[in-house]
Amino acid sequence: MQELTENDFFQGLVATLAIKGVRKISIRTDNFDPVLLAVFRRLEERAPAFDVEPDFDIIPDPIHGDSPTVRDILASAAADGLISFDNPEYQDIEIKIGAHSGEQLLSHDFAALRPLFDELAVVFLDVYEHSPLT
Amino acid sequence: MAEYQELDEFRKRIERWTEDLLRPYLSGLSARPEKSCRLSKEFNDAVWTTVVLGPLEVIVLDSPLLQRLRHIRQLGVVHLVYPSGTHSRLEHSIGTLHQISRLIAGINVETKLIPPGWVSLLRVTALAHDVGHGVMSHVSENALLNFHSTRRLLKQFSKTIQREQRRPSEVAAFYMIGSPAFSDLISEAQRISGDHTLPAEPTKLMQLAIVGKQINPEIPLLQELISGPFDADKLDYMTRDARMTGVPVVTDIPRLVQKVRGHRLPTAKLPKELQTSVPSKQETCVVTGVALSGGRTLDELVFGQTLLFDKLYRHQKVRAAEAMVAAVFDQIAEMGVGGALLAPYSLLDADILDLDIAGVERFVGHPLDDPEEQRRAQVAIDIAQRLHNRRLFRRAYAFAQSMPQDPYRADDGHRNGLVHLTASTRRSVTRASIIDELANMVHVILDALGSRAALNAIPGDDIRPYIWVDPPKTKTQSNETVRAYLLGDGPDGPPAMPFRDEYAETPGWSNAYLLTRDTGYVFTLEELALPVYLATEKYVRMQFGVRSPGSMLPYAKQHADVVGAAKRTLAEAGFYDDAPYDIRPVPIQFEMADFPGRLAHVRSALEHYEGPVYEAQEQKRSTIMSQQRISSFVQQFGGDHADEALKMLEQLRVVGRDQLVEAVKSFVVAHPDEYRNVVPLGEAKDSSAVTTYYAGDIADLRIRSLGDALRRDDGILFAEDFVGSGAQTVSLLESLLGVPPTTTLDEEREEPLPSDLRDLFIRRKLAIVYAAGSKAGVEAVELAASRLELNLEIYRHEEIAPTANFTSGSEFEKRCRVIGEQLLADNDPAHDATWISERALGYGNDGFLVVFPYNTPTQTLTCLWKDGIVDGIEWVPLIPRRPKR
Repeated sequence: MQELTENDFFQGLVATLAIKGVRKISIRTDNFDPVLLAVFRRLEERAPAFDVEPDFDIIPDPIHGDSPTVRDILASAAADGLISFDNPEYQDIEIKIGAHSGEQLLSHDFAALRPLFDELAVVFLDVYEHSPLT
Repeated sequence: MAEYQELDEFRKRIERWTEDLLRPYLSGLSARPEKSCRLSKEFNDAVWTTVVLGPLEVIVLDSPLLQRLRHIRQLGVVHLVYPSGTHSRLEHSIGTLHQISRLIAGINVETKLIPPGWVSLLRVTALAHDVGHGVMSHVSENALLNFHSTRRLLKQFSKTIQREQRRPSEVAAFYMIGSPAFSDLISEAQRISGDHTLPAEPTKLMQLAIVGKQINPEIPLLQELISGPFDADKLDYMTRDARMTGVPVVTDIPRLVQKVRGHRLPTAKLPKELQTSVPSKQETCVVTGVALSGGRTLDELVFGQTLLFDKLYRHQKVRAAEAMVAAVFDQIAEMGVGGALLAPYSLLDADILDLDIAGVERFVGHPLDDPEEQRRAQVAIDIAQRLHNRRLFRRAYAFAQSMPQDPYRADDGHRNGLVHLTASTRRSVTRASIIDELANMVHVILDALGSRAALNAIPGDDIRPYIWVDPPKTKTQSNETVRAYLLGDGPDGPPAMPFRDEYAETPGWSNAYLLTRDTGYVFTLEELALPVYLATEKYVRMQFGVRSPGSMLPYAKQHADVVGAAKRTLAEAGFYDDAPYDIRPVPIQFEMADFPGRLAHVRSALEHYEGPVYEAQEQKRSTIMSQQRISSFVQQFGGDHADEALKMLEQLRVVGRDQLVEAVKSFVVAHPDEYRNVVPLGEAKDSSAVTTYYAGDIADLRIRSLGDALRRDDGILFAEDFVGSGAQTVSLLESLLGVPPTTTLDEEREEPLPSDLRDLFIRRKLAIVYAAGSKAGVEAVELAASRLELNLEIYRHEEIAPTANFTSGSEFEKRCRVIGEQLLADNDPAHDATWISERALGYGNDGFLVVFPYNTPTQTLTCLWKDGIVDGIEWVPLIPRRPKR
């Protein structure tokens, strides 16, 4: 069973979103963390079918509603050059890779997971578009 | 709990371990009479001067569970870098108790909002909050995180308590404090001290507080004084770690404590998210936070954490030492009596630093008869001894997206390669594969360099334990702090508002500070640093497409001359036969005194070159010019031709805006009032759209479409960058007039001019100004103009002749031809041998050395602009040309 880290999860998702032409996303906690949680829940459901094991969890704090894992995922993605934070409040992210790079990133490590990430991107876009702050 | 068998097993083992540790102490306590210990004790503390512990706390402190922390350094191996940072977890635990008292005092300043029993609970929780730490504190738990089983355990624990938990030490502390033995300890401490103020089920509450779960709905954020935005743990460790290591810290802790508040608020006035954590029947609750006027102190807290993280906890030498502890764990942790997860509790710091066979046998609980166990033990002991003697691993290779002055930073292939590399080094399985590959290559390199003696430094010949790949880690420091609430001091405004709403940018800037500094490293022994560098450079280039910029060498503690000499030896042994040119040894010419100056000259000439940014089928390549890019290009020609290749680049002529405007101006001045309209010769897709725009810099000229210009009376001027053979201009003129083409250029042309405009075109006074070009090209256009009966004047400002190098039949020309032929060979049936041979040195085989800021003409030498494969290796052009579509 393939080990899937939180950074792998987000890298695959960002690459797929890039292929779909998504460029800008709001990451306000009230908005973004629940969206990523919904995507993660789908990942957990579908992981056995793709023979992958996510070795992380996303559990938003019951009081504050945020997830440290989500925030670390975003920071790592920025360090990896996949996204950038928009100044001055850093409440939006921009996907820095194009569709071509997205394809490259998926094909290198996640070729077999392409349908899974397609599915996760659909969940992301659906939940994101219906979240209160978009 | 039984849902997660591994977690349940871990709980049982921790409870058993706690029982074994505490039971003798508890037996002694049980013999003591009730209320026999009623005295407080005062402790001198290096940071907070005097700290007073009550009788119950003293009994807990005296227990082996807490005393064990005396032998565990708070900062693990930091003292190997900051010699005075030797303070223990016990000192920090006492300091945390002190800090929680100060926080409570701030909250209780006017009204006793936190009742005495809860004060006692928080104090004893603060004292015991770190009992889960194992040998060398975070160093061992970081080492455990390399085991997939640890990450799985953390996930199971998170699901169990419904809170993200990413620290094995806190899982262990949760179960130690929840153990029957610890419960007995608290009961005995209450009996002997006579202190029965603790709330009911104190150990359960302590467990919850340590993992940040709510303990009192009346004060819904009370647990956050133990584990939260400005908890006592942070207030002590930040001050203590900085003070003890001599690192300045910017956080004003006394001010922060002074600004801590507790307000009793109506439930209806709470922020929405807090209301969800308070029972509906509860009309009021106490909210803890920081005064609105103290928001800056929280910013300082984040800033202080960020600086400490960068300067202390993630110092490269600290990471090297931590890598050594992780390597020791890799060898023996799973051999331990309780498996890897219990290993941190079977050893103390001194056990690792003084590790020997007897120590390993004590750890594993049996004599080392198995050869594999013996081998692992020998390696672990060797690494431990190096740690003891401070012969630390050192950096051999460095990688990061943000590597300064990385000339390939904007290249998609390189950038994506770094993403793959970093991701692969974060996964335990793929990281191990990388280390296997590197170790194999290091053996090859040692053989080729005749340096196998380096292996004498280690037991056996397995060098894998001595190579450690440490990826960049971006654990954000600010997430917890931004959860704080700012409490209003006056009647106006909201009574409590989230800090993260008021200071939304704080996580952004603090994370950005760390993100741009954290670098991935490959660590190894001093003796293996050079071969490991050489192996890694080749491996990451071939497997991930990652280039190693020269600016990285200082970060990897490598020296260019030493690396260069080793590469030459390796090249002779065939090590680079299958490798891209850019990692092969640089030709000897590169080491001559004049080389940097020559490179700088070429770089300067190409300063304004932008080149196309295009998505080819395989990769998108940006064209930011740099000396390293130029050097890598020259390197592709090999040592025999490097000098001529560089000479060729020195002759490269950039024809840009300045040259074009100067040419047009010269012509217009010589023909006053004759030409007022400048028109693109060609279509919107052609470079004439750009050059015409440039010509618009001349005030007397108006840019018009051809149709518009033809309907006016003035002469029409076409401004062009370059004429090579003249074929393209001739083709365009023929196309406009609708006459059969005399050459096939495989280019799309628009419909001819309508007949009325065609007549006007033939009669109109026309001029073509070329910024540069060849005599033959001008003559070809003049001939065509005559044939087409055009009233056309031609002016070429600067003559650029076909390059002599490429008409001489020299060896360099032959090499360029071979390269060009290989680059042009593709699957297009029209591109037969004749077609290729006519273009191997650029269209017409004239080998022009011309480039425009926005593109490269086809007449320019092919190997300068065409990418592809040469002799089985990727060829990277210096000035790529936008492909025809």
